[in-house]
Amino acid sequence: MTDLRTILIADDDEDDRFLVKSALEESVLRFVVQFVENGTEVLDYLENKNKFSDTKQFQKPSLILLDLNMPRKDGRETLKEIKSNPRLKTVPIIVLTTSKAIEDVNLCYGLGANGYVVKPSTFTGLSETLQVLTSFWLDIVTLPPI
Amino acid sequence: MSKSLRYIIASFIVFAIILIRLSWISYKQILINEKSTLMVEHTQKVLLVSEQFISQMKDIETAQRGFLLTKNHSFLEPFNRGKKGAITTIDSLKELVSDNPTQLKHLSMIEELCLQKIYFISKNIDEANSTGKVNLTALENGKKIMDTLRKQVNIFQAHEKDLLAIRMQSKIYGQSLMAIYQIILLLVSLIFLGLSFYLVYSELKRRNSLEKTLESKIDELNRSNTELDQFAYVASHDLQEPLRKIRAFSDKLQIKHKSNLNENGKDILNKMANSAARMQALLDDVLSFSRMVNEQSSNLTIVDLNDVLQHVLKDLSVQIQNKNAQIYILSLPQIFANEIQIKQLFSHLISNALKYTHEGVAPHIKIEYQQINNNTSDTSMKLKNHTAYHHFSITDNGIGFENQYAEKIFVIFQRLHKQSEYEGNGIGLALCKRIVVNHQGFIFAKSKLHEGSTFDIYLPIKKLLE
Repeated sequence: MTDLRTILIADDDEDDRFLVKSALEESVLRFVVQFVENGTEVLDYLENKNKFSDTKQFQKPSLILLDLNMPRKDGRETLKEIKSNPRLKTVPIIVLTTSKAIEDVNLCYGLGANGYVVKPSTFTGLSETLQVLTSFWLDIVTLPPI
Repeated sequence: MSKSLRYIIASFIVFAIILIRLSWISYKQILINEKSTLMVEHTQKVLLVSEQFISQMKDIETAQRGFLLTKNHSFLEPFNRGKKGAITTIDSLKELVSDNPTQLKHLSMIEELCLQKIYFISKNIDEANSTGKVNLTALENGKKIMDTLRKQVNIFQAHEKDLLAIRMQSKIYGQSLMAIYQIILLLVSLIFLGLSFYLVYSELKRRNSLEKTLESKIDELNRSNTELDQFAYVASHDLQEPLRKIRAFSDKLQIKHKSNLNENGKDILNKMANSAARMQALLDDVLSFSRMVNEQSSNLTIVDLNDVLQHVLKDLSVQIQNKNAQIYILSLPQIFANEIQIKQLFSHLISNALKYTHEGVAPHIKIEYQQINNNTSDTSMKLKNHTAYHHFSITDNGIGFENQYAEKIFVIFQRLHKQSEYEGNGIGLALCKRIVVNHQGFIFAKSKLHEGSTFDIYLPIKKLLE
């Protein structure tokens, strides 16, 4: 289990988490998927705080898929905090959101997002997108050491 | 012209006429008064001169008596002087009353008497000179003539005094008339001033209150517009979420549980998925429309429409090739506009022209440009006066539409055809209109069913520094 890399997915919507999880299950399980429900939990997870204090179970992620619209700390704030934290900013973050607004796209790239993906409307589309994303970020790209 | 403005102008004209008329009457009266003053002076002069004549005649008489009594020749000198003087005085009197025949008649009698008198006196003097005696009868005759002369002069003066009285009266009458005119003039001016003040004041007050109402209306409108935009944006945004899930889950159902569904079930599921997809497309359109409303006409740059059209045609190249379309573009200008919006505008209009075509007929699309200086007061179009416009027209030979729909087609989600006949959501022309409105312009459509349509776009020419 420790050999497998971790993907951290932040999404407040249970259905979306279910869909993403099912879509990821389509591909061979080559990684651990962890879900959190808001920005505070993302940061807690990265810092191994509160309920994520178990460093064995909650390993540092190789990729974060971040929803923008979440309660309490939303994706934009979370992105800003991670990318301005020297210890965390090397973790690649892909924004995965329903927002097509050009303002959000500009904002996220401005804050240092590594990619911006509009959630596909169909399950097939979602599967394919996640397939491409994971193979690019986990197989093709050389990531900084954890 | 507003009713009150017309009222103001009318009353102004009326008062101006009254004032001019009154001033004219006063001016005339001044002339009359001046004339009657002159006449009075003239009469007084006549009286003065006639007095002078009498005293000259007295001098002559006195000189005669002096000489007859003393035989002293020194008395002859005032006599000769008086003689000449009296004749000159009569001449000047004649001149003075030349306009009055009665007085002239009186004067000629006076002149005759005067000449007689002078003649008798000269005779008396000559006789006294030669005989050394005084002819008493002649002297008496002389006195009689003198009395008649005096009487005659009195008649003359009485006549002149009557004239003086009449003239004095008319002078006084004229002066009092003048005073009345001046008072009327003053009163009318005051009324006019008061009325103008009242009109201007009430008009200003009315405008002020209108302005305030307008401002509050604009505020209200802006607020509700902003709320509406936000509403449309949030609604379509939030509606997308459950819809996306419906699509994703039905998709998952179709893929993962295919084997558990019979053909009917698959068909129903398919229909549901299609409806959801269409709903999402509609929401996307609402979203882009409300975004367009929010954006207004920001990000203005110099846009070369030749480049824009080239891009648009490149984007539409597949449709153009499929339909074997002919597109004619005349030379287009550079305009000051939001490039993205202008590109969308032409893209929508050209893709409409490519879409609504007769089966099997190659579309011919013509894009023309003309700069117009709208100095005409042609109100049939809503173009503003004294504004220069870019006028673009896009003409096609497509299916056209009945002219009664010429305005309706610009309303969002209004379609003239079934979705199955020509695909589309009814957003394109609404967006076009929005874009044109964002640029303070106008868009009009005219068409003949089965023959083709023309879309006219008018964009006001903006200066860079504006």
